[in-house]
Amino acid sequence: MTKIIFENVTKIFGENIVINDISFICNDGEFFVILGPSGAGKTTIMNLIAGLEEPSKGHIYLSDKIINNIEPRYRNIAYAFENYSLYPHLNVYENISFPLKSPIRKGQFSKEQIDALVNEIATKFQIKELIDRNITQLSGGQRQRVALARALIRKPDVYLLDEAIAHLDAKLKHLTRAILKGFQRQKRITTIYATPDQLEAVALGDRIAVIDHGIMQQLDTSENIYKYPANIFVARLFGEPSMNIFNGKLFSKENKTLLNINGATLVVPDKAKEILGEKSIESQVIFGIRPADILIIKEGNINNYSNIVTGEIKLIEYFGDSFVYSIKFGDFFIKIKLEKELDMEINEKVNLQFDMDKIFIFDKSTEKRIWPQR
Amino acid sequence: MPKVILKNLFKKYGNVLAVEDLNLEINDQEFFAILGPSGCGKSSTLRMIAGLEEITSGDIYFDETRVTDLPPAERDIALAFENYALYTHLNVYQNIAFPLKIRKIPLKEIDRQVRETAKFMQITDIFETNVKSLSGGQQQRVGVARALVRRPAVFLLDEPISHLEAKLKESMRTELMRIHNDLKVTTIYVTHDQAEAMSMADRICIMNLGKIQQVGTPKECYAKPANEFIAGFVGEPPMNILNASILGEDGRLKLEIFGEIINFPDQYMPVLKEVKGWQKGRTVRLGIRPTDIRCFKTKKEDNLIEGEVYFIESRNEGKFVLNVKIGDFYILVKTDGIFEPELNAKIYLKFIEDNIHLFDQDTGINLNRTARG
Repeated sequence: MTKIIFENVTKIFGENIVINDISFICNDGEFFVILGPSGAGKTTIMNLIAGLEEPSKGHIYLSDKIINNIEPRYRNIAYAFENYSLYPHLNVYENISFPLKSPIRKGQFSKEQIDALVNEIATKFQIKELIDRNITQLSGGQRQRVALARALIRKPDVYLLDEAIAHLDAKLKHLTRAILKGFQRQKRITTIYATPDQLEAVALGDRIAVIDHGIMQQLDTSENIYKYPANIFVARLFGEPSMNIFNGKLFSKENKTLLNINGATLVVPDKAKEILGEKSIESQVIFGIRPADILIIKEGNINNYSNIVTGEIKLIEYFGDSFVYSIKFGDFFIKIKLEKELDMEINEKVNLQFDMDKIFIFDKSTEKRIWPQR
Repeated sequence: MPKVILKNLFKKYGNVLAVEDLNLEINDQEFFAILGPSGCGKSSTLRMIAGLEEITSGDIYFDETRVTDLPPAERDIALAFENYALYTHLNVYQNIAFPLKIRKIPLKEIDRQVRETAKFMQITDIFETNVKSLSGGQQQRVGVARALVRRPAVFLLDEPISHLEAKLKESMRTELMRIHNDLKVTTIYVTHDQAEAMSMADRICIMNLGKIQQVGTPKECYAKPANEFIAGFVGEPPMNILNASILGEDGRLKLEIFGEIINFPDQYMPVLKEVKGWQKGRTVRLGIRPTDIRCFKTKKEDNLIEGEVYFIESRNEGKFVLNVKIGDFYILVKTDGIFEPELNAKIYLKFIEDNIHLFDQDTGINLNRTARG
């Protein structure tokens, strides 16, 4: 039963604040993903939990015990590093079994038990046939699975996995995700997984902590983050392709709240009016809409309140099961995701219909979400 | 802008054959991608076109001009690499101006061209900045600007965005397409990332083990993969490929997979029957895309394949990629946004017969490709 608690943790290297006042609770048995671009502070958080770094401020708890100054080897944590950190002079079997033979676990496992455990985990991650090979003979993807097997062979209190399946090809990636998550669920071991890949985070995480510049941007389930992104950074991070984001101006007319983007007028849903409050009368805001929430229509009754604008097709990207159209609308490029190809050419004029029930409005200065509200 | 023609191109490194008998015609103004896994020979090919790599045998033409023996500087090409290779002691402006300066173009003219290209690449506000302090995306823009400033006849790009983060990649992809649309420079783009090649290119050449596997539009490569390698390489999530055996009962073609019988559309029969060695009981490789499988919670019709939901990968937009376990085999299924999967529950799969691919077990060749509309 292991919880990990960060209480106002800050980490400073020289003059660099790498982790800035981060707090969270990772629950017992949870698959907790830390998502952020490179340099966001993900690996520092992992190192703080592992004990490879000490916090400059704040407290880290393992369940109800403060572990700030406890040495790594007394933390009972298994860590898979992004760069594998395998022992090049040992073969695959020796690497995977290494944690079971460490001095502090001396005598805990018999030779037969070690054999059985290595066999089980190697079979699970489909590297059994590599067991006698040297590390130097392995491909990147094979090394990564060996590193993962080595981290998972013990039953520690916590698994720390830093981009643990980043270097696998597409097919293996999907399978390894499935096996990893199945394994973790079965053992019910609290797991923290760091990745810069939004799709991976959504695929694996029970909850996702989004970090940028050492600051917690949002912590929630992927579903909630997608529906209610805390700010523009998070909104653009979740979803492929990214949410369309434009500057806009809210104003009131004929008892409606209207939004001017690039000279076109869109009607903001009535329910948003109360939330927007004074802002609905006149203010600059940032407007967001996902590429799947805009329709391309051939004919349309373009009047003041139809939420239809006219643009020009500039690019078409093909993704096998979907198409992404880039439409030039004034100075803006709007991306639209469709499942079927349109019978239309580059530079052709099209009408775009915005699904205004799906829009997002962000504060212009703080970039935080104002609408929709939970 | 010229056509680029490769004729019987070979490249050997010692005893290793990196590129084997390559024949390609890249059209004027085309955005052409060379796609393949690492070590497939794609970069060697690009470097031979650039003149950076000696050609073991064969010829390269730009239109009618044989350029095989011309040094890089005389080929009127521009190159942009993955690692930018910017001059770190120079600022942005100086980097972009560099290719013009070494050609001794008048300063005034250099200034005009640098400003025009920089404006186009939206980097005029960082002219004075040293390239060392730029972000990855900015460095990339500067690299592209420097390559394009002289308006080359052929633009060669080697994995220019593959190490960028997903979101930056997404915007750079659009940007490179926009540049190509506006300047119409014949562009050859090398990448290992199928999504990049598929989304950007007019046509793709897919390579493996030094050989061309297929040349076609992204749609052709996706819908009519020439062989099992391409089928598994193009598309995300990747195509499922499994063993199936042929049962030629009651005049119709049927397949047995995992003990279930699947009817094969009649339209393919004539084609399949012409395949050499085609016979009842033969094992073939069956390919089906994750989007071409329907899911049911009950066995509501015959010929559904029973499995267990082993893992649910959430996607945004209420869609899921399911890992379905059938015996000790795993199949990927991409749901439609309506089906609500339940972990560890039984699931029944229907392969959409029209979208089944069959591959020869030995050669990997797509057996029913030509029958596709």
